[in-house]
Amino acid sequence: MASTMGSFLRSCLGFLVFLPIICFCQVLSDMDLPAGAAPPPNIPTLSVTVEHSFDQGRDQTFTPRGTISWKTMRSTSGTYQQGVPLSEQDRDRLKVLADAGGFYRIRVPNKFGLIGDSTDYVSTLVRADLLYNSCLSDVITLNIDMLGHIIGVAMATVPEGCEGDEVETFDLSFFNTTVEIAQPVTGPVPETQAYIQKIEQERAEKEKGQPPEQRSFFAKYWMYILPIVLFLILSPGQPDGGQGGGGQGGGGRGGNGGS
Amino acid sequence: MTAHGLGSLLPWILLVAALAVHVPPTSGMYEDQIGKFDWHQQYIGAVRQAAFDQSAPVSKRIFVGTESNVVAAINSRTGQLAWRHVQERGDPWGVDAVLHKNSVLVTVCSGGDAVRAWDPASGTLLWEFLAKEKNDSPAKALLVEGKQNDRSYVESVAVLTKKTLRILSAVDGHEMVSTEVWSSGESGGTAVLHQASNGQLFAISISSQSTIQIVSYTHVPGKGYEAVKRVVPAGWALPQSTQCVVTGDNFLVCSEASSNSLHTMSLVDGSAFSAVPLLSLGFNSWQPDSLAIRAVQVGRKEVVLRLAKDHYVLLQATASTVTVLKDLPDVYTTTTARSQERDIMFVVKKGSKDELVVTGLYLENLKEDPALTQMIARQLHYGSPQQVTVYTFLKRDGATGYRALLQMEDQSLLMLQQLQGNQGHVMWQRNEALASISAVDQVDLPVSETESKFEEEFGEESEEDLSVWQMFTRRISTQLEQLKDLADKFEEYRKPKAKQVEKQLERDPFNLRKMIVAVTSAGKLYGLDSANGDVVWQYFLPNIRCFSQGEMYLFVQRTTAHFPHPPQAMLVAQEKATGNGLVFTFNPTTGQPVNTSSAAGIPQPFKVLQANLLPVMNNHHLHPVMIVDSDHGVHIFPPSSSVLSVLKKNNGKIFLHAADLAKSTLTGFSLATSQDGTVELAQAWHLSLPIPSQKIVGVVPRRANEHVHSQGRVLSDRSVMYKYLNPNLLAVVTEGIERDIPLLTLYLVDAVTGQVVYSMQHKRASGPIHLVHSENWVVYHYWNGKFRRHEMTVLELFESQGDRNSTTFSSLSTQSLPLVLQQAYIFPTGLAAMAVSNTERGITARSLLLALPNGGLMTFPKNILDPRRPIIPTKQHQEEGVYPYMPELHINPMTLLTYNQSVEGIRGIHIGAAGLESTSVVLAYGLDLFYTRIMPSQMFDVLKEDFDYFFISSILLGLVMATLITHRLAAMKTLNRSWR
Repeated sequence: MASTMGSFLRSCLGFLVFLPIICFCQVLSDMDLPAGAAPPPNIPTLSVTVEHSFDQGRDQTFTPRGTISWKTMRSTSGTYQQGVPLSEQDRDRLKVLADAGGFYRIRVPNKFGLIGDSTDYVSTLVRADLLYNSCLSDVITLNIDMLGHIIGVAMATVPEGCEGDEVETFDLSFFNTTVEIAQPVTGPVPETQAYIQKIEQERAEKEKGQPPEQRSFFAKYWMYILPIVLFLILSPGQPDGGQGGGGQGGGGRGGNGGS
Repeated sequence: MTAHGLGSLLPWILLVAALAVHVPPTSGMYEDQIGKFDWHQQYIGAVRQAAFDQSAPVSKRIFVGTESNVVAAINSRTGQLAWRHVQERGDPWGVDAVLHKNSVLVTVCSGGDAVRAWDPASGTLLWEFLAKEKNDSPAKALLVEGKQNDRSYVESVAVLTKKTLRILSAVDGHEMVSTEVWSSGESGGTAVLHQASNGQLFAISISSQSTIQIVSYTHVPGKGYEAVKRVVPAGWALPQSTQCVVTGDNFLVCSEASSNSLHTMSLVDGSAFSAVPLLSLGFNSWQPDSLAIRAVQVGRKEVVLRLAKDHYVLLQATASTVTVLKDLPDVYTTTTARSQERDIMFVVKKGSKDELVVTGLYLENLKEDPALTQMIARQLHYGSPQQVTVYTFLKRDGATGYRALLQMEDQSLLMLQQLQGNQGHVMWQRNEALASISAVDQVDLPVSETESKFEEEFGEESEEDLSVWQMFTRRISTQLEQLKDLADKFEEYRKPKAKQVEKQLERDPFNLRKMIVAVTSAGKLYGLDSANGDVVWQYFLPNIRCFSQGEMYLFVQRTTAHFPHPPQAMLVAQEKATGNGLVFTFNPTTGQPVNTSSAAGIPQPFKVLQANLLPVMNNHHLHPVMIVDSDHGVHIFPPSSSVLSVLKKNNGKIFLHAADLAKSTLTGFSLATSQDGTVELAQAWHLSLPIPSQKIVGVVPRRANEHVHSQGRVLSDRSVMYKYLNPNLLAVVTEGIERDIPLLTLYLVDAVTGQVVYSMQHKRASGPIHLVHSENWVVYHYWNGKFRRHEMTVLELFESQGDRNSTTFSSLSTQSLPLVLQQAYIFPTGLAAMAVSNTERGITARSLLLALPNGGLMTFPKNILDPRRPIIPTKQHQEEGVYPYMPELHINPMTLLTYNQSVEGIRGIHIGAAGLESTSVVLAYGLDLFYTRIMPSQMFDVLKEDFDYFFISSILLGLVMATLITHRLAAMKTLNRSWR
């Protein structure tokens, strides 16, 4: 009897262990993937190509720099992969640009995922000398939306990216890039619920703090009675008419006697 | 006992104290302050129809319908508004028709959807008829007359819209007849409505299928109206360029501008048009858009044909022929009036010495009557006359007199009256262009003569090339001049001149008085004195119009601060004829063009994409204006080498941005000067927002040169939250529909790098969006469709890593994103406009200015809209002075700057900084103008009005006296002691 109970418990535990794995698989299948292609896990599925330019002026030509990829629509970070190292020519151009105080530009397509090919790009720029002095260490931020549009791209350099003091041009062949993905946050709404709760709480506290009246009549209204009594005691006696009834007259006299 | 009593009283004291703290400082005013610092001007807009009052024996009013959708009555003697009603907004053509006969006044607006009858004297609404056709072209309407006992009376109102003909009772507005003009599937263009002398109604429409449809409606007693439809082929007719009229003897006459021909036919039984080319009459029209035809008067046989802007012909037509009665060259406009049983045609024409002449000619013999002629000097700032309305009356000697209401090209109204001889007299005028201001600025007035001489003494120019001796003589001479000025002032004080010489406007000590420079969409420029709203100067540019978004660019290139250089402003607008840019430079305090040779502005050979005032100065203290053309070429005004050298110095440091509303993209450019000296734009960054879910509706930068006094906010634990003060930050609002849900998105974008600093979305929210962006915060107002209410959200940005430890901000070397605090509130009403106060040094607390749809203008302290308001306040919050959170904001009537007045149709609020730090000057403009001062933090830098000067000075005097007396006494005492 006890053994059957134990085996039942064990099987339950076994199910509990499997449950997260099942859920994980479901998450994977929910991702925006082309149908039919069964992707091996841990391989990023959303990616865009980054292009860069060392040109100044109106006409700028962009050349491929690397690929940014991230896992799901809700990722907040991605990875950067660079296929080929920066050519010597490009390194020299960056050096010249940095010395001239020019700008280094990057661009990415304005769409990703399944919503079709892109014809337009979003772009940004950064001071070339900052990039040079940080040994190509940068942070690229992509602003995306849930439908697969890239709204904007931003780039910041990491000043602490270099190890030595001197920047050697031959060091600059691979970018040390961190990728961040940002999405619009939901705007605030007036906090009516919280406010009503607060009001109700205050009311409840008030009711709790003031238990039903148990004080006597005098305890409640002493502040009104006391001045009246004092007034009566301290007021000077009226001129005694004498027409008043005996009992009333007696009371009046008593008051006079008190003053 | 006493302690207990105090204990139970304490909550009461606390409550009263809390209430006193919670009520924000209000700025109500006393009754006797009304009109002291503020003024209000009411306008009606460009007049489309005008009719003199016929309901009283002496006409006192003119009923007008305007392009700003206003129905109003103007007092014909003073030009003041007797009454005014603003109708539904939204139609570009304004009021469709104003019909007036005897004591009936009916107006038609919204393309025939709203027909209203008014009491002519008081302007009260008698009845109204509302339909929901939503037509996109103006309706035609007329008063149908019936006859009873040989007296005609207004029986009903006929309204012909694009789809239906309606006949409404003139008594109570009930719908008597409603018939579809077109059988289903067809649609019509221009239409004419006509009542023949036998009472038959004709509705004539030109269809897009080159036919003209004539429907006649005959009233059959007991059965209603009987319709008979006829379609006449008219291959020449085009709905856009064809105009038709019906003459008094029932001939239909049409003019066709594209073929320059007239076509006539009998309305009752004709079956085909006969064409008469204009050339066969000996005329031709060289301006195709100005060919227009109209009947001289209801019932008359003659028609007037406009050939050009200043050329008319009087014609008479039959079914097959057209004869010329009189050629009217140099005539701007005509009208007809009746006096002593004779029809008189009044014409406004150019006189021999370029003056304006109004004259009358009798239609029966086509003779001009010299007694009806009047002349006025022509003023260039009015342009040419556009429309005239005449009222005739009998003078005491039995002759005919008349008054003429002229509507000029610059939208102003002139009332003319004949004086002795043929001299005309302008009784009054109204500047109705001020109802359509499209750009406005407030310019400081020049300093007074004495102060300018002071400036001369220390003039900074040519300081180096003067010798010591020259400088000495200059100082002596200017100081002598100043002494002379002082003597003059004394003289003036001793015996004030009987007639004050007209003085030029001067700056007051606190710089509260300004010159309001207003550019209107009619092309008229005004300089208004901000003290009372009077027109100081006016200038007319007949060849300009607004850009497609209804804006013009007005820049103050040089303020009055750079004596002896005169101030200079530049207007960038669109040329009417070509659509290219046009640049006009003028002195904003006098309204004079800088170059007399370019008095009508300088047309440019390109289309304007954007214009900006550059933040650099050339060596004449002039800020250059940069205009970017549609091909992204850059043009600098004034085009001088000194500006280029300044730009070269700032190479790559000037950025600008352009939003493409159609593609919903935002692009940043950097300005670079190339080796050969030309300035060019290089794309710096690019943002692309998805359509249709995020269409850009507004890009709001921070105000240029905004002063922020405090760099941070001190918390109760003595730590400081530093403000994120990025001068390059843009607030971009988009609106759209995503998956059938309205979506509102706000982006905060750095204009140098294109970095999205923050983005936020409101689902089920929609516009109209009003947004202000100042210092480190953004406030916006929108409609929440889920809860069906208006909401306001505030965002405040703070540095996330303490102080940046630098005095200047650079977008290019900034790494960290700001910390964003946000909170939303419910606002009780919608808004017409929103702005934020602005002072010279930014010390005064900021206040929002909200224009309410009911015509109120309200101040709203910014510290109420604080994202740090806690739901459960703690002692720290109280110490810091943060109010507890309440979800609903309230409109406090005490904060209404307009007190009990309604300022109609506010479209914008312009705020200028006064010389006093506590004070800003506010101009709300739209249909009306309203001007006032605001003191968001009370008048902390001015002594109160009830300051007791006498008390303070008497105490001071007493103290001085006491010091002297005691000193003397003490001296005497010591003297006595030493004698002892």
